Order: sequence, then structure tokens, then C-alpha cells
Amino acid sequence: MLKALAPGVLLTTLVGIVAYLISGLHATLDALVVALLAGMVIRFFFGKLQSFDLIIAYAKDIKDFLIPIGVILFAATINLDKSLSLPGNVYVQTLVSVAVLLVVALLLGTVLKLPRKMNWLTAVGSAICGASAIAITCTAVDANDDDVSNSLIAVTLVGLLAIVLFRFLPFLSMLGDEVYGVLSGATLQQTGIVKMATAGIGSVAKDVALPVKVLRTALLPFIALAFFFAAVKQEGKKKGSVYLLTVLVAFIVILGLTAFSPAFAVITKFAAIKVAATIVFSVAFVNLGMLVDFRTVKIQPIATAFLAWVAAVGVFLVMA
Amino acid sequence: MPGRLKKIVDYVVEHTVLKNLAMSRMRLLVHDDLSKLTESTPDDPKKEKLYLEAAKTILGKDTLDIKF
Repeated sequence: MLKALAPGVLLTTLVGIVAYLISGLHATLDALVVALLAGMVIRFFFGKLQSFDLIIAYAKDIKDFLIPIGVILFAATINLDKSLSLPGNVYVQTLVSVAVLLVVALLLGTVLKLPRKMNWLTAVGSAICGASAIAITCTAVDANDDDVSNSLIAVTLVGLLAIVLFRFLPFLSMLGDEVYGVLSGATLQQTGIVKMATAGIGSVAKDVALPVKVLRTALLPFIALAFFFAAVKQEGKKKGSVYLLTVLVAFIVILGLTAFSPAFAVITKFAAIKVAATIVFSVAFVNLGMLVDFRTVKIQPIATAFLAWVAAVGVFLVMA
Repeated sequence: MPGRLKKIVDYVVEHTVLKNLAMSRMRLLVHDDLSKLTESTPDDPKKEKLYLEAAKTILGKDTLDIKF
């Protein structure tokens, strides 16, 4: 079995480390986004090779192990301090944006007749934290490859499009750095996308955007649990439920400790833990990218993610 | 009784942790599209021998207790 594991382990680890190193070259490059795109591109070009089948199979299997480890390590790097000290109106704007993203995506997905779990994943990926939310939730609801692939394509494409629109729409630059930061943190799909959208604009935008995004990320275990119970209610208990519940509860406990235990919160400041978490998560994101099969791409999830994002930006601008 | 090939594949899936990887290895070893196997796939003694050897290789076992 080790021989069968080797190609997948070596390729994804190497690409994950390279993605991490590339992210150090420029402020707009985020390791996780680079890793996800690299995984997609590699599969796109080499996915048809018979020998590559082993690597794709490895990526499918390992996501259930590597993503939870990455998420728990990631939780240990999140310092909720800044998020907890955000002003009340920012909380309202963030939570309303999350609700709009989630509800509009679920409604549009129903109208556009998306498969149920693809709809859930697209909604969760849009509302919470993109690919990592999809990775955790797809395990929670036992989604199939097509659901995962299409929701990842939708959320990633819309995220990249959102950066372009944010950077080039003139009226957004008139919002002021702080409001722009909150808008980015409250509506963009994943942390890397938020970093890219606020890079080079001034430290205020980034300093506000990331704590807002962390607030959304902290909702992940709760939302994933809600969908897990919805899936269990409809389909009955699944194998691996205990493992998944343990990971989600661990995530909540670690987040709680970093927020309320100053002694534990110290670990969030260790550079070594941040580097380790980023590399592990980058490797996990390469795996996720390799799950994307562009041959199965559907337009409906992309439309769903895009229109939900437009609705959330619209509601945010009205509130701001 | 048809479906013996499907039972071998199901046995491998049940007895391994990395299920997709095991299936991928099985596909490479037997050169068949395993997703097309069903309970009514006709038995084929030649293929069955090949499938059993592949299953033993993947699971690292000398004998398999498959209930046909």
C-alpha cells in the first residue's frame, strides 16, 4: 500500500510546499489559493493519464484525514481576540452578510435545480470560508465527487472574479479603507481571497478584513454540524460520524481556548505553528484542487455563488 | 449465480481504509471498469481468478473469506 500512496504523498506535499514558498514572493499571493489552483491545473493537464488515477484516488481518500488536521491546526493559529473586539455594527454587517450569502445561495440553488448536496456545499463555501468549508461539510454530509468538484469550481471562480471587481470598480475605492476591509471580510469566499483583495491597499483594510473573516470562519463547525444533522435526518447515520463530530467539537474547543484562555492564546503567536499549519493546509488544498474535474463543470453552481455574492455585497452597501 | 466479481470488489472496499486508492489499484491490476460491475454482472472464472489475486495483493492477505 505504501507504494500506492507514494505518488500522491510526494506530489501533493511538494506542490503544497512550493505554493507556500510562492506565497512569500508577493503580498497578493496566498498559499492556500495558489495550492488550490495548482491542484486544479495539475489535474486538468494530467488527469487523463491512467497512472494519475492513483493520485486522484489518494486525494479523495486523504481529504477526510488531512483537512480535519489542517483545520484543527488552523484553529490553533486563529486569534479571536481582534474579532471579539470588533464594533457591534461590524458584527451585524458580518452576520447579515453570512445569512444573505447562505440563504440566497440555498434559494437560488433550489430554483436552478442544483442537486441538494451541491447546493449545500456551494452555499456553505460562499457564506463561510470557501474551499475549507466545502471540504469539512462534504465529509459531514457525505457528498459525491461531482458535488465537491462543482462547488469548489463555483466558489473559487467567483472569489477570483470578486477580487477583480473589488480592485477595479471605482465606487468601491470611495468607501474608505475600513469599510472596504469589512466588506471584503464579510463577503469574500475564503481567507486567501480576502488577503489578496486587501493587499497593497493599506494596513487598515487588511487589519479589519481578517478579523471579520475569522468571525465567519469561526461559524464553520456550527454550520457544518447543522448540515451534518440535516443529512443524518434525511439519510440516516453514516460511517465515520463519531470521527467527524470529534473534529468539529475539537475545532470549537480550540477556538474557545484561543479566545478565552490567555495562556492558550500564546500558541497562536508562534511562527512555527503558523508555518506548519499553512503548509499542512496548503497540501490539503492541493488535494482539494485535484478533486476538481472540469469535465463535469456546471453553470448553475457558478451562477448561484455569483448571484449570492452580488446580493450580499448589495445588502452590505445598503447597511454601510 | 451472477455477481461474484462485484462481491470481490465490495469485500476489498469493506476491508480497507483508503477505499478510493484500493479501487484505483484494483482497476490498474484487473484492467476493468469496476464502476460498471453490478449484482447481475455475469460470472467469469478467468476474471474471478484475476480479481481474487488483485484483492489479495491489495489487502496483503493470503486468503480471503468472501461469502459468495
